[in-house]
Amino acid sequence: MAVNSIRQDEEQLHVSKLSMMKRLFAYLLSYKKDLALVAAIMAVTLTISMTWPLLMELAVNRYVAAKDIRGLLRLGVGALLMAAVFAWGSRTRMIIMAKLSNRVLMTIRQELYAHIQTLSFHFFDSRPTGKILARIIGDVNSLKDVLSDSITKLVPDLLTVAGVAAIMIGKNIYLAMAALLTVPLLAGGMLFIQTRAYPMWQFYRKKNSNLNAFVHEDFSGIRLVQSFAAEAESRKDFYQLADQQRDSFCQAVRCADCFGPVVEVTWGLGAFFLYFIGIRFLGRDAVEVGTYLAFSTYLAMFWSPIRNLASFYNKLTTNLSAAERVFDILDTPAEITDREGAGILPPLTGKVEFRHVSFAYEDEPERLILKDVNVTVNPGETIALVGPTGAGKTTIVNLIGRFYEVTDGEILLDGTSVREVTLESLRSQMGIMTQDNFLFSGTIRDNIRYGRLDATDEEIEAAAKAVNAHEFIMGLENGYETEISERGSRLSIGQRQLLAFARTMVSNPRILILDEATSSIDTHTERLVQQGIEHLLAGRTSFVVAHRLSTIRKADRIFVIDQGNILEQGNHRELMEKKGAYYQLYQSQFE
Amino acid sequence: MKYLWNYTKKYRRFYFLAVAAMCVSIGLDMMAPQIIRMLIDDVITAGRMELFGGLLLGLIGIGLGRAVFQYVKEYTFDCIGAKIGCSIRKELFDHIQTLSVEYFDSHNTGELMARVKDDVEKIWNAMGFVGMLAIECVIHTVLVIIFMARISPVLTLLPLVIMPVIAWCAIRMESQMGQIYEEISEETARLNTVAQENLAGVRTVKAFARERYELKKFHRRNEEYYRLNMKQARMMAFYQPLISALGQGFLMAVVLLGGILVIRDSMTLGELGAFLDYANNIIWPMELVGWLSNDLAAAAASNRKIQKVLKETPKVKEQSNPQVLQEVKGEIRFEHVGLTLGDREILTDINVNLQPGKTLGIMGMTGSGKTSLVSLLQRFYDADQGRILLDGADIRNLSLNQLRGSMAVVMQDIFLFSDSVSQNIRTGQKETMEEPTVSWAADKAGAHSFIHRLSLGYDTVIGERGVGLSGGQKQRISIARALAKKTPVLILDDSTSALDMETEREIQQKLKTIEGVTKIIIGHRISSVKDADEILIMENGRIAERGNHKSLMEQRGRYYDTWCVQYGEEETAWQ
Repeated sequence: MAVNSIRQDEEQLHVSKLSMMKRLFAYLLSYKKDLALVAAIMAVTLTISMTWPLLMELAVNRYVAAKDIRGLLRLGVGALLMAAVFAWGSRTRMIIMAKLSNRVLMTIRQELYAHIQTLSFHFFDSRPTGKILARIIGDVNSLKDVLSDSITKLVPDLLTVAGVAAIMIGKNIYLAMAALLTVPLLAGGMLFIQTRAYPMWQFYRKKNSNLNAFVHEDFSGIRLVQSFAAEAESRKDFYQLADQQRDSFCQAVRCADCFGPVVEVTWGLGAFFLYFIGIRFLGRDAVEVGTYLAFSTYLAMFWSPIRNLASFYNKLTTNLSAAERVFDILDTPAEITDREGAGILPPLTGKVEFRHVSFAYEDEPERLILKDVNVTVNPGETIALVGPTGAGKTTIVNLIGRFYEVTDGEILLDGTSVREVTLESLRSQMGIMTQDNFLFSGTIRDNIRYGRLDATDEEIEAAAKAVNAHEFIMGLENGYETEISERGSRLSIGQRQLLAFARTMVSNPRILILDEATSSIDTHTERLVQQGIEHLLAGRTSFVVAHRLSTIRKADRIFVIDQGNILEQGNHRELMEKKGAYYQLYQSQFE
Repeated sequence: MKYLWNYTKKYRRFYFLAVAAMCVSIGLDMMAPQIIRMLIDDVITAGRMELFGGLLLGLIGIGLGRAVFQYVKEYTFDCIGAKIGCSIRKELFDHIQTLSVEYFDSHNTGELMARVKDDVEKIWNAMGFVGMLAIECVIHTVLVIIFMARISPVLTLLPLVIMPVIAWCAIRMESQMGQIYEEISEETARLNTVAQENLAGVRTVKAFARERYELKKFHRRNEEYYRLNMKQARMMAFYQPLISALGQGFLMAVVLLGGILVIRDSMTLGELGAFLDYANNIIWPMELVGWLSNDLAAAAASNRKIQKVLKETPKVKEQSNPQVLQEVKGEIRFEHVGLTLGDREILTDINVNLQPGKTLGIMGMTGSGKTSLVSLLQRFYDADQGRILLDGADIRNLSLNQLRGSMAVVMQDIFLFSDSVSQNIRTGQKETMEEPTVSWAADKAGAHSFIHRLSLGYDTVIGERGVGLSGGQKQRISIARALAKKTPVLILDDSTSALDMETEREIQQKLKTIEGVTKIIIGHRISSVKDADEILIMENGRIAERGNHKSLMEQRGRYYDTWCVQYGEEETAWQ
């Protein structure tokens, strides 16, 4: 299986920025009313800020020139009112925009999270958790700036630029042309820088993701790191990744920071052309002094939003590459999904049938893990799966829960193919204990309740008693209310297995799958557990993967799995008499 | 703050350079209105065309000069921010790595990640472009005011009145925002934790078909995150327009007052125009004040969080002058060792005397303290009573590096890095380990043959926690990893549980051939421990039985019972 490591950069599809922006803004479209309101407010505030220089021009040209102090004061009052309206407008706009962008963010985050839940193990197996996390949290948060900045900054700034240009043209077309002569230069420069900077930002994001993955792994495996006295080594790795991330950032800004200088140069040239053409060609007396004054204000108004754009441009480009990474996940198809019109699996009696089942991992189709397996398990039977590690025991039980899709053949439960029913109705009838028993941070009670959300406290305690966990739970400082941290690191592995066992028992499964569920539990406790759950299991089909022969000896049937198929089957006595693979396996422990 | 100030030490020269470039750039910016005033007053009004060419060249020069200096300034600030952020991140990471296991027991990975990633990022920004803008605002404002004062001292009173008001708003906003940012940062950690647990526990989630429940759980955090962000936005939406309106009011006041001054002939029209230009120039710093104090507040909140982590000290302390053992032989002694965590007694009066090269087997009930014994030996915790000796030296007097470096542990909870098989086996000695050692260890761990069958052999990248491999394969790689270290002490903590009988036996045979290594083997199968020189049976943190296989069988106690269950034909096990 192709697995992405910490050091490798992730591969990514190339998507055009425009289509990404479109997709991002499609989220905003569900807030049309709010958007309309924002547009209306922005129209008002923009008009106000646009007429502001006009007012000043008026004040200087008319009232000051005419020495009309009263008129001047009247104008002042008017301006003050406008400022108040402006402030109120900005406030409302900011709140609405914050609401919109945060809502959209929340939606995207939720969507992303929901989508990730539908992805199959293959997705999780092939990349470090830290990299997925970086996308759900970091990359989504970066989108916030894209959304709010582009509407509250990009749009008004662009409108200001356009509006100012229009006013200048209206005032004096020649001067306007002269002043705006350099705009194409600006556009060209922008385009040039941005096409060069974008891949660099993408590169930076990837380095960032590598760093994230490393931190996640190192902290999750801190015990191992410390136990192997490998702190210096992982420090070195971390330093290297942190340096790479820093350097990729510096490299990107080296290019992106050119944006400001381009603006400055074009501004200088623009001012040059304005006065050169105005004075040289139109003549010294052709244009009023007041107009020049207004023009220099307009020029400032024209260039300052562009300067603003420059400083926010950096952010915008980095963040767009974050959007790309988010959509990349959203576009990863879920491999195992409910089929169109999938039915609800009715309560099972527990008959399990494998018909010509073959299985290979997708990226190694020629290496068959299972080859044409045919077997029928009757309701209530206990099946033990034994065999060398890597023989395919876990694969068999994984296929029953449809965690992977069979390559060939089909698996039937009570005669219904697992592919014909919804995953939820299928898995909720199974009690599956994997080798990797994860406990969530929270109380012990909540962790057991995870098996069945509506389980009562009595049922939880009954399950804990059945698996012999009650005693040690009561020995903890707060009993069932004791908070355990992630991976239950305050408990021993055996105790964690017992809790996971209780969690499985409380789910009241029709089919029980125990994949090395008791491997870390001592024989004595195991026996108590077996006695405890005996009546719970009456009449239920169960599959047990185990290596301890005492665990499997009493199964109704034992399947010896090797090389992708069932080599032998039968109960302990039959297999011992057969003197085959099972017999050898059994003998090996006495030598 | 002092902490951050110290961090700038290395970069002060560059900061100085950047600020100098900033000053030049701002100075050039200030010259533009002067040139325009001269163009209007001297060239257009007074008709002194001889100045025209020079003034125009000046405009272009200003543009070019600003371009150069601005680039220097921006790039320098961006890089310093990145460098300081990176250094802080390194210090933080180093520090977290030295903290004891107890700290990690009570702090979720998601939370620690938020510190190292998000919080550092905020400081990175503050030391970089946010800081730059803040400094620029201040310098710009001061310069503008000086220039203004040269044109009209009376009108300059206006900005001097309005500035303190704006500053006051910014300070108030900063302190209120600071609180919200602390809340947001905590919520980020919670959101992180929910997502991180969901991803790490994906197998459990799917096994119970709990996707919808997980979505609800995430949604609650997501909603809360939204609520806090809105709280922050509302605060922002209160102060920002207020500051903005103050700026506009200021501009209007200049026009009014200036107009009156012109009417009274104490100022020329050209002067008013230039003054207005400057006034326009002071508006953007005013508007930025809101955003800047917002970002700085976020950075300050993050800094506080980081400081809190840096103040944590490891529970397990090293001696400042550790004893050094020239050569570790591997003699291990526990003398009346006891351990209490919280109010739970984990271990009581443990006595062990293990000679170099001998093997100790440990069996016992779940939660009886077997793993704690190993944790104590490695000093993940310190014993409350008694002492542990390695080659006669109290382990508390040794450096952690020597202590942990002289033993290799195969942990029960297998953790593999998402890296190649070979790099995983080299853990701890990535650079120095020779290729033959890797394959030797893999062979002894019975892993060589299956590693060979992997698509790229030893270079195959395996996933985090070794997903993609079976439980038994993971265990064999982790055994190989411990063997490869070739330490005098080897500890196997229930590390063959996922192996089938045959493979286990094969590995045991191979382990026996490694001589001169003191071994501690914890296991649940009789077959795992029966050849040990001494076997301990643990119960409730005490040693309940001890002896070798033969003597324990004769005792007919717990060990014998277990043997009966595992080997006796007629015992009922799975019924």
